[in-house]
Amino acid sequence: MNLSTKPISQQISFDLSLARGLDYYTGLIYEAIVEASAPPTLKTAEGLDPVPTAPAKPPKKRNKLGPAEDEEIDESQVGVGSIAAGGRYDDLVAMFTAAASGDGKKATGLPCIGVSIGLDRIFALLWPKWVERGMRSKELFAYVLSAGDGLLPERMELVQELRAQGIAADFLAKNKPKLLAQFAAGERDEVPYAIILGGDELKAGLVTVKEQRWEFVDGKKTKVESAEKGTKVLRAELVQWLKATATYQDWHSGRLIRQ
Amino acid sequence: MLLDQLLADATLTASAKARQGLDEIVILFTFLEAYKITDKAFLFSRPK
Repeated sequence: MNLSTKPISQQISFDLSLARGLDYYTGLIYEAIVEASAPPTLKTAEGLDPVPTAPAKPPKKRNKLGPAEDEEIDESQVGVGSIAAGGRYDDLVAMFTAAASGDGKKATGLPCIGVSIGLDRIFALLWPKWVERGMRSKELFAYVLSAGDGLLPERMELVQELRAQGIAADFLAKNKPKLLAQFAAGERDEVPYAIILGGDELKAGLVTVKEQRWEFVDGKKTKVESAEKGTKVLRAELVQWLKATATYQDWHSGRLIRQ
Repeated sequence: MLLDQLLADATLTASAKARQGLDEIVILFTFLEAYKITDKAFLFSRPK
């Protein structure tokens, strides 16, 4: 591969001081960093544009670019490190094959080159941007609550029914949970629909569906408080009703907050 | 079903531990019914 080809040449830097944490490398090594993952010193050294990023967060993992572990690290001064790395390791496979074939035999070398991608780190970098765009963090579509006396089997039954129909649903697995605790659990999961069961309503074949919306308040996802009592829906028509909502139709977009 | 027969057995239910065990199986079946998987549980179910 010819790295002098534009635009790749702009993205490459040759660094003799680069060291990986693993000692099996025998030749050229690589690290991929992005602006948000690099420590600030490197950013300025590489002349990368100091684009404002999300507030610096402590690194999730050991930082391969950072100083040795026994030194004090100012965590705000390091990024999450490389997002992909690899290199040449000519002896590693021979080490394993020698061990597998038993002593005495000398394993033949197998030159290798490989790169791994740090999904955890990439997600750590992408996640704030995803949230910023008003996207949801959970797949859960409906939360089944009881306003009556526990109604645990009834809640289980409805959740099972919804799941069987392809609607991700959940409930608070407690015998007689408080209504507020159930709402709080649904809110944590950013569920767009709370389905409330009541003893008398169930006898009449009805459930109450309450839509829950979120908005940004000072850049934070916040549930919109509403005094709405919710909509009464025939239990038998609940699945159809939910599937007919705009939220369901738009579910694949991943959007939680509509602008 | 068998569970009802056992619950009706006064000698058996006289034992607190047996009684508790049976009561808990009743709860289990409530849940199995809610999830519609009673046919997948062989314990205490009527032989077909």
